[in-house]
Amino acid sequence: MKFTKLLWFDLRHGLLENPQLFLIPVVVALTSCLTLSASAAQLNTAGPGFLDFIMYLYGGMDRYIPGPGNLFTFPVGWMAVFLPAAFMTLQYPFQDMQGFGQQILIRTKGRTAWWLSKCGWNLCSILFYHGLVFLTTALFCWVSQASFFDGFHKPLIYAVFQVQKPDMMPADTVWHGSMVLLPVLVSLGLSLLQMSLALFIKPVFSFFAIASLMISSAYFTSPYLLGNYGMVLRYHVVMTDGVNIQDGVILSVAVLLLAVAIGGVGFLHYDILNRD
Amino acid sequence: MKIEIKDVSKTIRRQPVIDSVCVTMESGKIYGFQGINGSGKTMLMRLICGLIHPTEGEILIDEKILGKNMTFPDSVGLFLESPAFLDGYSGFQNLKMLASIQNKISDEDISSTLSAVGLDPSDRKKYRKYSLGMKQRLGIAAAIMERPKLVILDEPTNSLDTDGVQLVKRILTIQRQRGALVIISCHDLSILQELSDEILLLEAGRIKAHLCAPDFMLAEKEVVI
Repeated sequence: MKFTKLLWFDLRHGLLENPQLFLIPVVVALTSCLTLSASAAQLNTAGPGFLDFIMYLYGGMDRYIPGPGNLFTFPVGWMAVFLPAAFMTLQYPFQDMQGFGQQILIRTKGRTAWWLSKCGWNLCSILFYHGLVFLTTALFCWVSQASFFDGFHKPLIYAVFQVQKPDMMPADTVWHGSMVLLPVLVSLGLSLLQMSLALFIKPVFSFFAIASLMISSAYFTSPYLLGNYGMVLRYHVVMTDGVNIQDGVILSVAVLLLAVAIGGVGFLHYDILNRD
Repeated sequence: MKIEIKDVSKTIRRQPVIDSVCVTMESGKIYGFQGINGSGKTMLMRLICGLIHPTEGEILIDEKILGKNMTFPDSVGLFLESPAFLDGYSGFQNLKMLASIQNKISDEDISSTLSAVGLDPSDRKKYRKYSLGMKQRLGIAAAIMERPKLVILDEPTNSLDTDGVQLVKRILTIQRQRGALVIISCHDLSILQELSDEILLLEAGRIKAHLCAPDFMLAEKEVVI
């Protein structure tokens, strides 16, 4: 009962009354849709449709192979989707803990319900964020009369992601739900990992740790770096020797559950001090 | 209620903030913490209410070890440093939200507590528009509204005018009369002398002197020294 009350409180004050969580995903999705539409017009290719827009948002980047003349290009668009979600869930638990939430915490008589409520709030916020990204993209397609069911327009995707290799997106590459769900699951895992890390290091450092993990994931195509599963272009169904989607689901869920458990134990021993 | 602080020390970032504190406190009394900024008053309060954990030693509340047998004291009202409430809600709404966690008191109880601290329960003004004194009063109301057995008030007279200070004195006396264990900190030694049954003088995280009511004149000497 206390958990339900706490969760409702957190959803109300940490999500519904947080205008950033409404505005930023809309801006991110709109910017991405407009950019891809402009690229398509410039390249004079077919598309884009809904799946192209989603691929443009969550595609990430082609495998990077370091070598002379092959400079690492930062996947700005992809980071612009993931990092704001992590950033927007950074401060609330700690601001709440040092403010009004402190009064709530001592009335709950324990720390576990409070922590689980913050985890629930975090998951809902991330789902809400990506839900708004999808909704905005769908609305853009509807307004611009773009196709919803065409599948990928490969020439366009090849061009915007500067894909050179012929093994990328073979003819039998088909769209399926995990291409959308796995990046969201990765985002959930990263966000909870960040919240748990923030108990041990300062919240701002935990954000940088997550950002570093994502940059490392862009640089190294490795099944052990979670960020790889947030890039649709690196899935084994899209790229030869890409990362396995099932492994990504398992790793994301494992990170998520470990973050909840380790954070829960950490919070039992956490000193709640003031902001200074 | 009985609180036993047994040889408690607390170190934060390698700095000792509380150093080997031993003291026992009982219901029906007001304990005054006095000391300059950084002397450890607020840290000791945070330790007693379970927000931070001792590095050494232990705190027993009714013979249960805080942090082991209980996470927070069973019944505690807390006002630490500057009060923090939800900006977009009125005083009544803020207290109602807090009261809904334990469901121990009614709306009438909340209203009467607000009246007791000199705030109008029907005032729909948002918290963000409250003056410093009103914020302070609301913080005190939150700490006492559920009639907790332990009341901890850190600098409750800050930002209050003379009438407000008198009001706090009355409120604290009522809390003592109903059998609560009250802990307050205050820079103004005269207020502590007037209210407290026992005064702890803190310096660099240690108890420099523990004085009972008849010895309060010594407190002034200790502070002057």
